[in-house]
Parts: sequence; C-alpha cells; structure tokens
Amino acid sequence: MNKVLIVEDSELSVDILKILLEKYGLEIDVVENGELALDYYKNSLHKSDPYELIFLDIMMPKKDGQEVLEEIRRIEKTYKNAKTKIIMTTSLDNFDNVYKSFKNKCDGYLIKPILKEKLDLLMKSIT
Amino acid sequence: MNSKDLLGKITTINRYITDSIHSSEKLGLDVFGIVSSFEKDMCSLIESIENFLKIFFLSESNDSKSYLEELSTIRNKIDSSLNSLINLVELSEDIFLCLFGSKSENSTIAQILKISNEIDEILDELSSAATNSSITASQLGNSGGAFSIISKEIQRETSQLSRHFSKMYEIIEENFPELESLREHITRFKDRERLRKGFSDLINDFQSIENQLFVFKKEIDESMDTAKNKIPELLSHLVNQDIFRQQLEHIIEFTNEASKRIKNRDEFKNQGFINFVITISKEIFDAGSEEFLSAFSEVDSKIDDLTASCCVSIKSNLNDFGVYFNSENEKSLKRVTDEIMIITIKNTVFVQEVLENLSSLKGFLSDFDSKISLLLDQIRTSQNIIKRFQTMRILLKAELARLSDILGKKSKDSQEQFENIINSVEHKTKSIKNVIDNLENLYDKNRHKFELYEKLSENPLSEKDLKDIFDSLKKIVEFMEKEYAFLSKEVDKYSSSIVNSKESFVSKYGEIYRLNETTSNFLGEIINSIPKSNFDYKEDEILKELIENMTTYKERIVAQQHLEVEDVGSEGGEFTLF
Repeated sequence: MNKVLIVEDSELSVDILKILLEKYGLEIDVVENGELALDYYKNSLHKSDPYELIFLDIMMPKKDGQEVLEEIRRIEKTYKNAKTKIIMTTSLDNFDNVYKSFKNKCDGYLIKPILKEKLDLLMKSIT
Repeated sequence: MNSKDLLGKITTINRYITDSIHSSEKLGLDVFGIVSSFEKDMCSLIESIENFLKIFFLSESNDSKSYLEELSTIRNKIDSSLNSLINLVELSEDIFLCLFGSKSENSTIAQILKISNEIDEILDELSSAATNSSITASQLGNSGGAFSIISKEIQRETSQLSRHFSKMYEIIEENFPELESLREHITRFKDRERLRKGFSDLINDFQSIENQLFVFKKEIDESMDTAKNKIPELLSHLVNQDIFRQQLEHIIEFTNEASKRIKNRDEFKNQGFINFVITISKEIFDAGSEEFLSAFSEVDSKIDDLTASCCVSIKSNLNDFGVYFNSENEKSLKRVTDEIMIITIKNTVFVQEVLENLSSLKGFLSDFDSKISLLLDQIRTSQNIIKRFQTMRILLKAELARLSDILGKKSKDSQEQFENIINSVEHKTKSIKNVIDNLENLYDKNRHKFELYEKLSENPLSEKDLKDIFDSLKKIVEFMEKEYAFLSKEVDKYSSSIVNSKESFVSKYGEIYRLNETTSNFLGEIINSIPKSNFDYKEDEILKELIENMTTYKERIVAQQHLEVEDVGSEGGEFTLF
C-alpha cells in the first residue's frame, strides 16, 4: 500500500492522522471536502494510478463522506480491477452511520479521536 | 515567696489545669466528631458506590436492563447468530460436497450436463446417419421403400430424444445453482474465523471489565470493613481523655486545699504541705499528660490508618477503574462498546451478503424433490424412446441384410454405425439416470440437513434489534460515565473532609502539647520557689482523703513514691491506701 488520500476538513485531524501514518511511509494527498475527494479519485483512475486507500471523514462541506463512499463504489463497478480500500474516520458513533457505511462497502470504521492501536490493527487487517 | 504571690501562682496553675481539661475535652470531642462524620461519610460513600455498581449489576425496573444484562444479551445474540451462520455455511459446504462432489468439474450436476452434451453429440451423429440412410434409400428407388421408412422413423425419434435432453439441460440451468458463485461465497466466508476472533477479543475486553468490577467491589468492601474495624479501636483511646480529666480534677482539689491553707496564716507557716501538694501534682500532671499525649498520638496514627485503608484505597481503586471511563483509552467502556458495535455491524452486513448469495442454494434445496422428478420424467421418456430404437434396430438390421446384395459393404457399415450409436445412446442415458438416481438417494439420506438448512437460513441477525440494543447500551455507557464522574467527586469531597478533620486534630493536639509543657514548667518553677520542710502526711486527714480519691493507676504509682501504699493494684483495678 502506497498511495493514500485523506479526506478531512479539520487540519488538526489531518495532522494527527499523518503522524499516526508516518511509520507506513505512504504517499499522502489531502483534500478538505467530498467534491474534491471525488475529483482527485476520478483523476487518479484516469491516470491508471488509483488510490489504494482513502481515509474518509463523514461530516464535510459540499458532499458528505457517505455520498462520496457510495459514489466511489458506483464508479468502481465500471472500472475493472479498481478496488480502493476506504476507512471512515469520524466522530459519529451512532448505529445508523456505521451501518450505512458498511452497507456502502467501507472497509473499516474509526471513531475519533483515532487511537494508534486501532489504526494499526485496521491497517494490518486490510493490507 | 509571700502568701499573696503564692496564691496568685496557684490560681494560675488552676487556670492552666482548667484550660488543659477543656482543651483535652475538646480534642476528645473532636476525635469523636471526626469518627462520627467519617462513619457518616463512609455510609454516603458506600451508598454512592453501591448505586454506581447497581447500574452495572441490577436493572432499575422490569422494562430496563443493567449494563451487564445488556452486554450479556448482545453477547448471546451475536454469538448465537454467528454460530447459526457458521453452521449454515458449514452445512452449505457439506451439502455441496455430498451432492456435487468436491470439485465443480466432477460434480453431479456437471456430470449430468457433461453426459447430456455427449448424448447430444451422439444424437447428432444418429440424426446424420439416419439422414444418410434416407438419401441412400431414396437412391434405391422402390426396393429401398422400407429402408426409407425406418430411416425417417429413426430421424423422427432422434429429434424427439434430442428435445428431451435439451429440456433436461434447461431444467438444470434454470433450477440448479451456479456452483462456482456459491462456492466463492462459501470460501469468502472462511474469513469468519478472523471476524469471530475479533469479536471474541472484544467480548474478552468486556469480560475483563466485568471481572475488574468484581475486583473493584471486593476491594472497596474490604477497605470499608478494615475501616469499620479500626473505628472501635480508635474510640477506645478516647477513655484516656477521661482519665486525664480525672487526674487534672484531683490536682485542682490539691491546689484548692493548698490555696485554703495559704490563706490561713497558721497553716501557711508549714509550707511542707504546699511543696508536697505541688510536687505530687506536677508528677501526676506529667505522668497523666504523657499518657494522654501518647494515647492521642496513637489516635493520630489510627486516623492515618483509617484514611489510608479507606480513602486512599478507595481512591486508588477508583482511579484504576477510571480507565474504563476515559474514552482516550482503548479499553474504555465507550471504546469497547463502539468497537463491538462496529464489528457486529460489519458482521451483520457481511452475513446479509452471504445469505443473499446463498439464497439460490436455499431456493434449489427448497423444492429439490420436484426438480429431481422433472429430470427423471425426461429420462423415463427418453428411455421409452430408446426402447423403440431397439425395435427399429432389428427392423433396420433385417432391411440392411435384404439390401446387402445391392449395397454391398455399405450395408454392413451402416448396420454397425446404427448399432454403435444406439448402444451408446442407451448406455449414456443409463449413466445419466444413475447419476440422477444417486442424487435423489443422496437427497433422501441428507434430508435432515436440508431441513436444518431451511431453519438456519432464516435471517439470523435483525438490524432493528441490534440497533435497539446498541442504542440502549450507549445510553447506559453515557449514564455510567456521568455516575463515575459524580462518584469521583464524592470520594474527593469525603477524602478532603477527612484530611481537613485530621489537620484540625493535629493542630489541637499541638496546642495541648504546648499548654501541658507550659503547665509542667510552671509547676516546676513553683516547687523550686517553695522551701521543703518536714511534713507528716500521716497526721493530715484532709490530705489522706484527697489521696484516697485518686483513682487512676498513674496517680497511684505517683502516690506510692511518696506515701506508704499497701497495694497500687493494677491498671484499671482497685488499690488500698496506707
């Protein structure tokens, strides 16, 4: 796993996540809203260099994380072999959001504040 | 020293002694107050802790559940759902193995399809052989009439047979599951062990919280018991305050008598009495003060013990337990609850997908009998056609023998070709029937498994039930976090109350210590300023009476050093004077 996109509108959360991911030596892009996330994602597909992993916040301006997840999974069906791992990173810890994310085929769900142990465990399980 | 000065000093002594009585009484009352308020605080604290633990262990009403009850519901529900699903998938595999064989290319269905394809090819051969025979017959003119009829009949029956095998193919294609797709989902579910382990780990985390709760409750109970047991021992030291008070009152009786005698000019001449009284007063005072201060020093250390065994221990246990209420900690109730929710939802969604994909297997198994019957119907009709082929074969053989002179070697070749093809069709049809019979037998043998499969494939996890459980569990966790914060504040409040009382005790103890030291020094100064003279205490009835009033052990020991005492008795016992 190398190419990663962080979709997050809070600078602090981005900084924390970057620190936690430092040891994995990833190439990280950061965008602050859902619309930009989709632009970046589509662009990476066109270049045949898709993101391998996306950290996706749920509550974001313009387009929320659930919509972005749904859209990415829809796009993936038209691209053969395009399968990006998506981890939701959010402070929303209610049943409905978690359920919706897994229904939309996210690969993991991390509740903020993100704990190092949980992130490492998830990284190990999806890579 | 003149009588006026001496009287003044004795008045001062009385004032010091009275102050000591009041201060020691105040200290005793303070200790009693500390212990009472400590007991009261402990009761409140126990009540708070018990209320807190009740949320874990006991439900408030019939409608609500305790935290542990909710957890146990979730654990049982998820565990049984997961077990049902695992059983279901294992049963699917089992059914796959017994019905379709271990590899898809050798499966029963694949065998049926393979044989019917082969039959189809043979029937094509038969059809073209019959067509060729028809052409040959037409070339023979009138002599080939019967041969032509038989060839056309073979052609007609062949196309009928072909239709039956196509129908069989259709039945299989329409009703039998896509083995590869099902097998893929079953294989995917092999990952269940990881899911199960993840879930088990989290449940173990919860188990450790439950265990920690029991430890917490046990340690708190022990701390409370230890504290309670220390209280009577602590209170037993308060009797020393009463002993000291009695001693001081006896000193006042002495000094009062001394004052009376100073005021009487004749008696003042004999200062031996005064010296004796002040000397014995100082000795009693010093011994009593030492005993009192030592007893209350013991009280001091007992209060420390009490604070340590109760407040410090409770606080430390409470702090240890606090990790479960700190959401920054991965073992916290909130984190573990969230994780269990996430992994349960992940499982639920996964299970729903697996079930959706296995639904074709369920559909296939639900009406298995009738599907087998449909196949067997086709086989039976095919076999009837094949029986007619036997008749046609004899007729064909006879006709080709009749035409052998005209057809020459071609007659023998055609006969052999028809023989071979018809034998082959017959043989293949028998094989296909055997495979289907075998499938039917396997189905009968494993009927119980199919019935169990039907039962298990009912949706094992209800999304709504889970949502309700997790919503209520989250509410309990939030409530418990608040209760824990409240309990921590209560413990802090009671601890600081005990610490404040202790500080007040230490300060008062210090005051008495200094006061007693001043009194003792002052008594010493007076003794030094009064000349000693012969004094026959045996002749002094009042002194005798005053000394007889001395009831404490220390006083008797002091008395023994100055007077003839027959028996000082034992501490707390009686004694006989003179």
